[in-house]
Amino acid sequence: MANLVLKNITKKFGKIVAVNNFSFTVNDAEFVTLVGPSGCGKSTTLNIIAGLEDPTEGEIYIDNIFSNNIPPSKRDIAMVFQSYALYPHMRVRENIGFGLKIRRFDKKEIQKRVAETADFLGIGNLLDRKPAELSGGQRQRVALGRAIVRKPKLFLLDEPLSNLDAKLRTQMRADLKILFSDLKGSVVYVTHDQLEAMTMSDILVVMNDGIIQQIGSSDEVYDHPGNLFVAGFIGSPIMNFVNVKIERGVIYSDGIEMALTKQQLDKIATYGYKKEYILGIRSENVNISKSESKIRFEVEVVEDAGAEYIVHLKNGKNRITLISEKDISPRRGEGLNLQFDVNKTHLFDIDTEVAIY
Amino acid sequence: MFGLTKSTVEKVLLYIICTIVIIVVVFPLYWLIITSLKYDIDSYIYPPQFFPVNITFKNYIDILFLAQEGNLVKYFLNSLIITTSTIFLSLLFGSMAAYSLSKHYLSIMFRRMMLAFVLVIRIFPPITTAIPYYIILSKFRLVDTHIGLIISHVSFSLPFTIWLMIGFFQSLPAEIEKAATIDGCNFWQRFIRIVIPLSLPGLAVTAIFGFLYSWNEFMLASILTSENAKTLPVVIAGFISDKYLFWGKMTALGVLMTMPVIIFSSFAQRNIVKGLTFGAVKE
Repeated sequence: MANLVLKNITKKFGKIVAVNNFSFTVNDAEFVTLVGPSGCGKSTTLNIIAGLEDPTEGEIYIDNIFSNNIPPSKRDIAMVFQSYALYPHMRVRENIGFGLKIRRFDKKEIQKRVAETADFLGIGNLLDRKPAELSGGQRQRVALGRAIVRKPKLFLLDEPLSNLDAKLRTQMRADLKILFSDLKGSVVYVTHDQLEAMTMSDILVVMNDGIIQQIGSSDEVYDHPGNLFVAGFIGSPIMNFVNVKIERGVIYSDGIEMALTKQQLDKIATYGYKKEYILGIRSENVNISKSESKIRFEVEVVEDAGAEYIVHLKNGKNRITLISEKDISPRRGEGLNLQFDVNKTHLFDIDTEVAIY
Repeated sequence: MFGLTKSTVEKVLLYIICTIVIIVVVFPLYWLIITSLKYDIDSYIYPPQFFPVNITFKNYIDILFLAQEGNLVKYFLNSLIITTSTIFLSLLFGSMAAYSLSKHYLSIMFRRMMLAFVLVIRIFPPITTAIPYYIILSKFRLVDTHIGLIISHVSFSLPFTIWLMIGFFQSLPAEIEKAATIDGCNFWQRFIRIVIPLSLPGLAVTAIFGFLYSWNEFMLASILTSENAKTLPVVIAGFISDKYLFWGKMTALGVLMTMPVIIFSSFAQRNIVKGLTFGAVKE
């Protein structure tokens, strides 16, 4: 296994900048996920790491070796594609062993490794089938087998789960996590699914418009989003945002009046005062209060999510959601007293969208 | 109205149109076959016999065993050698050219220019290029040789092969080739081990067209060959003489010449397995 360093990578397609001044490091045996909406440049970044595309600027180091000029076949990496990209004319056995065959491994060694890999992935009984005779999940495993059989320095996975149905995806998510932790592989994983990114990775690289928005662990990114984009992209249901004004240490908006902590006020003072801010709070940090409160909203709609209710609330221009236990049943049009967990709120600059605290 | 629904009327109309089309297409073939089974004298009867009364295989026996026009086996072999060589060379060079022109290895301007250039030979009527061909081949002493006719046939079938194969190559999922690249394939390995096996249906279709072109080609063959490399279409045309028209022999040879086309087409069609790429990529 190896580490990967990307330094100031930029990729332009004509005038379009797909990846802009992109730098990050994947340490040995680390699972790093590039996450962001479609078209944010994450797949392009992966192709650049693989050598399938050349960066316009910047440097790539794989295992501390400058790799810009090394062709994909010599980079000793493996890639799993969203479409699986199995060779349809070859049996599973040949699909998995193809990379070894091209690299002129001994026939016996190929047989041995293919058998080991297939057993490891639980597809030993499928070796003589063709890809067309496999289910989606089985094809996925073959594609993984093709990647791990070569014992490469680095695994690149491009949305490998997005073609699977929801149930299988959850299962494969756990399986992949176990697989790569057993292999102690360095992984760069690309997905647009924030839940997948959160659950699987050691490090998340949140991207938008070809630019890194934030790099951090799941907790860091979730609890301390660096800007409005990250706050809105990571987490489900999406974080509540309301435009607020702050006067004498108290936040005001339609239906909201809440005193901030001293620590928070200090941070605002350090950052510099603005006319307006954006306040962010996650649904699970909004609670229904049994006593009178200075935060009051009206119930707009209640979604039954099985284990809990997702309650959509409204007051003036502000719309928020909260997650409530099922022991209370809010009704449409009902006024609710709410409590925000002030320590779990986030404040963003309305112009630059940067997090103030 | 009249107890007929609109869809019934449409169906009846459809059958009538289809029947007319089939008659137009198949009738000449039918006429070819029945003429080959008639005595020559019956071919001149008016009104014509749509169903032959006196069936004979004399024409077939004549051309196969008693031919005065020379050795028909030799001409058959000529046609076979020239056609198979044309197909082989067209597919070999055509698929390589098409692959390089279908991918982004070359600049878009160059590729567009090449594709237009490749078509140029198809723009001119064949007769205008046949004469330069004759002059060039005669300089190289290749007139009336297999190689000479093969070269000319390949040059005419290549553009078609290239254009047809480009479509097939471009429809291959890009990710499969990327996977092969990462698996360690170089350009040629990718082409031979991945792209060609996945393009077999395309190659089969192209081969059928190449076969039909070369097997049936008459004009170049009649100008560029005289005896040694003479092909069947030229032999058939030879039955039209200024003294007599041998309809029976001509059509019998026509029928025999059509047989390989039918056999080859049905054989090649077996290779056109629909959905060969199915399962490679989830759509």
